[in-house]
Amino acid sequence: MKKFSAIDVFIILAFLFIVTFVCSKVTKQDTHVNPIQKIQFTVLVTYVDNDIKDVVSVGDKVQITPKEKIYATVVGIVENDYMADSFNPALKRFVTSSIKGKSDLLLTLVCDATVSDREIQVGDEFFARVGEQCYIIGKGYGMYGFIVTVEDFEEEVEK
Amino acid sequence: MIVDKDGKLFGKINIIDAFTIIIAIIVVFGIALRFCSAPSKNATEYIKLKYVVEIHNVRKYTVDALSKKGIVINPDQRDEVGEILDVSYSPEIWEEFDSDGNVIFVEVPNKYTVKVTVLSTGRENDNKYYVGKDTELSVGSIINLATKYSNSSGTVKSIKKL
Repeated sequence: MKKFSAIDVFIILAFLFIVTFVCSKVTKQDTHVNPIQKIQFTVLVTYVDNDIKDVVSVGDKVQITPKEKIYATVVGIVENDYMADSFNPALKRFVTSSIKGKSDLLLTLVCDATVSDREIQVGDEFFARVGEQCYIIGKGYGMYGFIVTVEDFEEEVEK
Repeated sequence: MIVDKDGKLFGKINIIDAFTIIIAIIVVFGIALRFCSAPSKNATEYIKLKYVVEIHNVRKYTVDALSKKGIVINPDQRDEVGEILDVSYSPEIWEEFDSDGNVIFVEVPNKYTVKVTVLSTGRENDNKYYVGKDTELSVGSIINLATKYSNSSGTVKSIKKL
């Protein structure tokens, strides 16, 4: 067997150091991480065509991120008229009016998540927070909106 | 001769080995510099800071989520930057022109301005305040605030050292 030279040993040690350091950073555990639990969140999809509501059904399993395969189940669908606000200089105030043919959809979803005291993490890269963008990709349809409510059942127990 | 007939630098080290060693040194040095360096060479001991962030043009959903308070983190680095002490909100007000061309202040329907008061343990040097790992805090700067239930960004309006 060929003997290792000093250079080979140095390279191996440097490589091991890098791997160890990267692993320690990646696997760093939050002291408050809890086991996986169910969460429920609502996504507001605005300014969609009225008939889009008909393609989404309660019970649909939808992908909520564009790349990572993370899925949630649709448990509720509410449709409201899309309301637009525009400033009327003559009236000196904003005027709210609906737009024919357009709706807002409120989709309630349920999925598994890891809940800590600082975040609700779904999969590796998705964090369920009000204001976060969320995709709704189902069989034959795709849209995106923003999370407007988040409930973890630990919060319900604390109440 | 720098490179001999066998491809060794100064007759000692193979060029490929030398190149690999240099790359390894650069990577190790870069990692150490990025993750092990302190935010400021002159940072003092930890201090208590109370700062107010103003978030504009949000729906009531965001107000409700922020009102749950809790720990605040920098969503990019996921390090803690404080804890929410207080949340207050008021209707969002915009500047608009009326039909006479005068600037008037009007209330925007269903939108709010939120003021979030955060208590944090940070550091300071002669020029700056820091919270979390290395998030610089200064009045007028934009800061991203993420709690367990909300993610938003706003402008730092005031900083007070306690």
